[in-house]
Amino acid sequence: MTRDPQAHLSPEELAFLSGERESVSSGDRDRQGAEVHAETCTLCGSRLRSHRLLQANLRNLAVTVAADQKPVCPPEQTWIDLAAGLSSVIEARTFLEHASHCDHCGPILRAASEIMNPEVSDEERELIRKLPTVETTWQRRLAEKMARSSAEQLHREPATPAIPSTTDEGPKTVAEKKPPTSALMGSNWLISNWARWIFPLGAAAVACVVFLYMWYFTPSLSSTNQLIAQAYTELRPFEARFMGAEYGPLREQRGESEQSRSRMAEPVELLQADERIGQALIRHPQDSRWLQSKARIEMLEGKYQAAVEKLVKAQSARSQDVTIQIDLAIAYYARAGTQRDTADKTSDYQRSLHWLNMVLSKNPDEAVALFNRAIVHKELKQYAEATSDWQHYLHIDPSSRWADEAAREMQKTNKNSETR
Amino acid sequence: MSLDELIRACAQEGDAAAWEEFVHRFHELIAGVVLRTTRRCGSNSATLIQDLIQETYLKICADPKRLLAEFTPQYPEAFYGYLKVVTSNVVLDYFRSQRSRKRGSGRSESSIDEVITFSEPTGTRDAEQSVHLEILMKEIDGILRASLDAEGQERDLEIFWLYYRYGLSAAAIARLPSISLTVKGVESVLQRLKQVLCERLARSGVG
Repeated sequence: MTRDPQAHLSPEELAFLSGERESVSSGDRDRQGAEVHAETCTLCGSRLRSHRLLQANLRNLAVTVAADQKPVCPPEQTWIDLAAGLSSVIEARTFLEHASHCDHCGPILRAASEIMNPEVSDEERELIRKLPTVETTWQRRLAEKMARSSAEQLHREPATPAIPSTTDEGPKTVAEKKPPTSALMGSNWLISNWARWIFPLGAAAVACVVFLYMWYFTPSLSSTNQLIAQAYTELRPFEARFMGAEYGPLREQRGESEQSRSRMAEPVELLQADERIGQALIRHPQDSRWLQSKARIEMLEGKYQAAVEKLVKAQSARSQDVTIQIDLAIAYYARAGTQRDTADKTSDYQRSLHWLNMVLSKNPDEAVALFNRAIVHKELKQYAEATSDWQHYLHIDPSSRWADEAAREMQKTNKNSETR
Repeated sequence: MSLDELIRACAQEGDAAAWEEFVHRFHELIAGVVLRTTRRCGSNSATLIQDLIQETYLKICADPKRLLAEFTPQYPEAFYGYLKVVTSNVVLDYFRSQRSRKRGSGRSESSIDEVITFSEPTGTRDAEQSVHLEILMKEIDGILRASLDAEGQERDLEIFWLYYRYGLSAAAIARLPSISLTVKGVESVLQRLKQVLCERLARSGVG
């Protein structure tokens, strides 16, 4: 179909004639007709020149090679998870905001999205078809190996609970709606009016009593967090600091399995706090503040995975809350200590670093975040960065017991840095 | 056999026939990710691709508990995502270890940008060009911010920069979790923003 010679250029034609990428809709491609129109129409000629100029400028903006990583960049695994669709919408929002302005992360996200592309091209399909891995004999041999390997694992580990099946859920029954009945129908005026008011008043009174009861008996969050802080000081199972906690010497190394801990050995403050949180969460199961407190307890109990999950949930409800960001950093740091795989370990430390960087970018003198970031840098063998954080920390807090530890750690870090 | 039943049979019973079905069913997905990641890391060796496909499957079956944990019948897409991530990490870890062996460091902590190759830059920029581009970017960002409604502004700007600066395709952007647009929707945002820029830049004579 030939274009109307008098018709002005459509956006698609402008995009096509200005040399924009193929991926943006090409529309009617009667190129010659469109070009002739642009030459004869002043308005379209001017528009096309603007488009071409803009297109040339936009092409110049392109960054194809990743620049150096910055301290605020999230761990690189983030981009792989995001491109694979494994990040939550809330997480994705934060990460995309960063990637769209970062010359390190933007190109990596592009590479990851190309790798994760669900569409297999014809060329790729052809290459895959030529691999021996498509042969039935190869697949059968591999499947036998896999069966042996998974069976060995199953014998080694206790039975796992069955996953819920989509077919397990029975059809939902719809309760029949009964027509409202009124025992008072046909009674005299006084009785019927009295009845009209007594039920709402009674319901309101009951609601008030329940509210007062809940208000009176819902435990205080701040006192619960104080109990947890006291328990941390007594236990201190890892180097990272909890906010609001007094100094406590490091008691045990991370990596001890949670099963090996006895609740009897836990400080009484921890048990009290756990009981209060349990009560609060029964009433407010989604309350992010109580979830955060529960996560703190779980960290002290060595349940780092559970703590991470709760804190991610709490963070999505209070995305700007610095205390959650610091707790999340501690949880990732603590979980890193239990990871067997080096890549997983590094990834967790990087995640921890990401959250601490986020806190410190807004408040560079946040002492707990600085203290913890120095420790994470040390674990990542980034000794110069660790020393810099210790120095900054000692400038803010020159004389506490935390400062004594910071000074000792800084000396150790310097030695490691020299022997490296 | 449904995906749900297949995962149970593999992970809970360690059944060879089930694993064979698993290999057959996910072969294109896993081989596709191995192929693309390996090429990104600068290799086209069919033998290496074959070895890495096998390694991926062995990694998956080595942790049947994890396989179960990652699968939620209501969200099968997340399971495909999990398989893709495991696969690409197997390949990246291989190239990381190769790289550290070459360097003799014994550590496998190379960052992704050290093992994957990016398309060649179109040309080097001198300091003056860099400053010019910096100014242009700020100008573009300012024009777009001033022209867009507050609602959806950040998302539209992200789409713009991911597309024009970092080269993500409209389809890749549409697949990102927080974008919530179809490919057509992303293309429409890009057209709209380009139109705004075209009008404003032509008027102000920038460029």
